[in-house]
Amino acid sequence: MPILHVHELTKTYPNAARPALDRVTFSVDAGSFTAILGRSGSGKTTLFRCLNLLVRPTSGQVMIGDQDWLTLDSHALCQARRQMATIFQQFNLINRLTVLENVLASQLSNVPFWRAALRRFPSGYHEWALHCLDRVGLHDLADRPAGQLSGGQQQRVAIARALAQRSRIILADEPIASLDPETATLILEELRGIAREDGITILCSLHQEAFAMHYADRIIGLRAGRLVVDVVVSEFSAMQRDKLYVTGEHHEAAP
Amino acid sequence: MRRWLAAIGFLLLLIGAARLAQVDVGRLVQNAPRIGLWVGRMFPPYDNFRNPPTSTEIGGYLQNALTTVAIATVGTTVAAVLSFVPSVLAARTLTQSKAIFYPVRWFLNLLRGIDSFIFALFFVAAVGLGPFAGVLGVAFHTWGSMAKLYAENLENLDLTPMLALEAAGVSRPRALLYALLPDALPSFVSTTLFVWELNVRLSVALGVVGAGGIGQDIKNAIDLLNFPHLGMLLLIVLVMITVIDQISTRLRQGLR
Repeated sequence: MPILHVHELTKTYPNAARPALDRVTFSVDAGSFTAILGRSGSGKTTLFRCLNLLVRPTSGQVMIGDQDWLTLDSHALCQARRQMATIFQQFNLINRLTVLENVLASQLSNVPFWRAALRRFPSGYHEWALHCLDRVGLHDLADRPAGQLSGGQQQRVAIARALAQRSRIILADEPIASLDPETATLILEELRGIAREDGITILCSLHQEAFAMHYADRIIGLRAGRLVVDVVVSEFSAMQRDKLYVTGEHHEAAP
Repeated sequence: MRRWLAAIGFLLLLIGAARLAQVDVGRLVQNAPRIGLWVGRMFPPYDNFRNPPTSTEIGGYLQNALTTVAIATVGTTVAAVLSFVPSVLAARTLTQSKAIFYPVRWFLNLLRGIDSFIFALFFVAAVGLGPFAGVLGVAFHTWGSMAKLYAENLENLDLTPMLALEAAGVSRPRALLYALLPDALPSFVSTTLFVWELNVRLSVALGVVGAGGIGQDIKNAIDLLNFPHLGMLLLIVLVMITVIDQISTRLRQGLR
């Protein structure tokens, strides 16, 4: 049962020679872990930004459940976005606030305006946020300013925030690109655990094919804005790899 | 050749300007002894000990100096509060809509373009003589400059933490207050202190147009050619400015 369906999604930036995304179509099943592979500039980040509509696609459809996000007005979009959490390469935490306050940010839409403005959340929200921090093993750092944490810890805070949001989908845009290999493994374990245990759908862009093979259920490959690979992990082979990475006339001419 | 022409051109302009401003060096030289005498009379032994300021008079002057600081403080605070919303609307990075951005910028430029002196004159006419007219004058002029300075502070901030919240469905006002304000606050406070310090110096002159404070005493002393008192008043202003500068600098250093 697909939870996310993307149809003919195209994004052309102003003054660009070619589209950053070119008629991309795919579906993702609920509770699955999908890895997005591709070189730098292949359109991975643009794809994610078009999915949560931080960037407005030029044309196409983004269906979450049976709702086409491109037809929503700004208020409805705000509501719809709560179903989708995003994790970024640079973590994007609020450095001056505490770890706990960063996780509580996921609840900003659920409290009255004055509470959001004064950063005063009811105690039930605190417990839920602490529970989510516990899941990623950072319960003890709740009162530290987020900016003081290591990269791996900050990314785990971002995961806790995504969990706290109770979203159905988590987009992870190169979540391990700024981390050392050991920490990277921990983060991917964490994300796979969330997909398995909580049934949250995960889309995760990666540079390393090995990580994708090990953690994902499915691999989608982008090249120059086009979708060139869409297979379950067991079917990912040398041929698919060539489609993604090998350059030159020889490949372009192949059937 | 072109450089010579430019130099001659500038010289002609300068001569024209001097004539327009009625610059008359002869008059300055002719009256120099009188100016010297006046300056001399500001210092003890005060015109052979005629008419020195009494301790009661000095007490009154100190109180008016305090009024001047109060005018600047209240005016600056009101302007700071009023500046929050327009600063967001006048920040290029936060307001994409040109239909909002430009009118807000024009409005702020209008406020900034009118000096607090002019505003104070206007408000003296509107609400009557006294420090309240000064407060309004300072508040209105400062509103324009402060909102523009705040907007520049906002434009220098990293917006990604705020956009991350928006991507998760948090509305713009909430995301702004939660993710951007903590980052903006130190620079806002620093800017406000700097403007406050500036406004204290500026508020001294406001008394001249009847907006209260120590400036009024200074105007009276000059009108009455009361130089011993003028000397005392200028001394008080000097001490006051130095103290305010010190407080502002210390507080701003403490922010880092």
